[in-house]
Amino acid sequence: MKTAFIKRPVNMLIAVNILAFSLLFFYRLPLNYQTLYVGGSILVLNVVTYGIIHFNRLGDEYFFLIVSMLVTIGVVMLCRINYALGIMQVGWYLLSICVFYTVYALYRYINIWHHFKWLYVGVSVLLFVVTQIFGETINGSKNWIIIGSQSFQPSEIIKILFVMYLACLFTQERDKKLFNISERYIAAFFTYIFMGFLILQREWGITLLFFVTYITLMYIYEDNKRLIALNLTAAALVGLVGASRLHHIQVRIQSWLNPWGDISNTGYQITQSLFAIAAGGFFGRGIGLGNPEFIPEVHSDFIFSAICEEMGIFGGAAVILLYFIFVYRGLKVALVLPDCFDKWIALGITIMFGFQTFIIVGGVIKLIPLTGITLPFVSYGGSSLVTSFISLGILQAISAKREGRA
Amino acid sequence: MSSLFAIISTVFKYIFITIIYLFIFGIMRMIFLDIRKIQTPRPKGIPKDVSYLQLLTDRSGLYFEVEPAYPLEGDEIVIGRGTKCDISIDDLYMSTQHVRLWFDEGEWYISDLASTNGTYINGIKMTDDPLILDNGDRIKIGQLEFLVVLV
Repeated sequence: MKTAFIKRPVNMLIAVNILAFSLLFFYRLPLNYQTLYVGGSILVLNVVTYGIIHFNRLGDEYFFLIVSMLVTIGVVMLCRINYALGIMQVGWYLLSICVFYTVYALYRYINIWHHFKWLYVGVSVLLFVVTQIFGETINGSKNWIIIGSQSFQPSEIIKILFVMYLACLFTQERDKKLFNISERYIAAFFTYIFMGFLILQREWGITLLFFVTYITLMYIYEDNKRLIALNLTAAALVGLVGASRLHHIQVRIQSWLNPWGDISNTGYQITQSLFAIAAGGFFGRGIGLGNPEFIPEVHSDFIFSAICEEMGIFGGAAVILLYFIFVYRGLKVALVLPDCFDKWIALGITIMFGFQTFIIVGGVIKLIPLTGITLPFVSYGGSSLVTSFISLGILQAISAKREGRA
Repeated sequence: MSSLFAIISTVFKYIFITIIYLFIFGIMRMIFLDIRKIQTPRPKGIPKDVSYLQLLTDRSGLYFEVEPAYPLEGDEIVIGRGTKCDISIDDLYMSTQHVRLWFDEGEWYISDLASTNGTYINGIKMTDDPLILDNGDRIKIGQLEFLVVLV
């Protein structure tokens, strides 16, 4: 019996939830009973949702298992860094789960999503224009729309719309033309329009994400390697021009190559992140015993450094491994799907998650130049978490379609 | 208090990492079983259009004899320790008549015959109600675990 208990991942998930939140409960004096409620609600949300997926056979159950572990690690770190944000994140998680079920039902039982190609483009462009006009600047990026007391990032939603647009494009007949121009050139055009808007918003991370997703999907789809070569050349040229002309990019590359040169200013974020990771060592300093508050933006972009500091390299590697098996699972689902549109959507969403993780983790460990983007499912952020769960809902619905059980 | 917290947290960090890796290992194991289900070639001696039970447990450590796979032929199969069973396995943890499988209207059903140690389907203990078997289900009887491969 004992081996069976350890071999079931959901038991491990419950154990992490209980241990982590009881530890957090003793973190600050006087004892804060709210921590127990937070932990309890996370535990209930995780277990109930997993149970619903498992017993009703709503498709692949590993997606949610992996994601719930990531969310748990994220909430534990957030509660430890900034308690108010941790509470908010639990609220967002609850909302995300509701959105997840809604999207699941919509995608699973309504089968019309491949008809709206121009709607996806239209809504994306509209959102970009609205952001450009009414957007607010937070942390140097003009990509927030504030409605009432809530703010959200339209670019997060456009990520999904972009994948859906590309999936529509790849599913229709090849060489379909519009105004005598092959639609793949139109797709390339729109991709660069989107990237242009994102650059205007100073969203380098998401710009890069759009580009690598587009190139990867094109590489898988396109027989005509000339178009890919053209894309890469154009991107390289634009990159070179940007690197030599734009101050923003120069600063980022400079602080990537040598953050120690200007440690108090431009290199501050990355050096603090590196100090934190180094302080962690193999097993970390223990939750609540490190100093992640020295890292700027530690609740969103730099949460991976905080995880490395307090849970060590082994903890950080565990997080990367979780993303790794998530992506593997997504690709596996995409491979065996019969329906082409679903295949492209699953593939697009999966590689978008993968690249997003790579861009931010690579950024904070100084592997690639740092670009601000959230770590999916872990970072604090309402729009990021909710849209990640929209993607997850679509992926879950697709994996359920494959099993063919109504 | 704070030094006590430091000690607890230091101990917990090792426990955490162990558990998280156990979690990852568990998922990888499940995924591995999932892949093996797809890729396992049909065992020898099983005709092409017959469903069968495939043994997942490693046979080398067992003190009794067991086949790598059992075909599901006929309409009813009783598994147990008794020699009169259709599939007779001398596992001490099995009851004389442990579990019954039968074929009805295109589905294989399974029912536990009030066995002492119970029957587990995909890790969940069976109640008295019969269940419909799906392709890829795992049945645990006694010390053995079988994979259901339906055609």
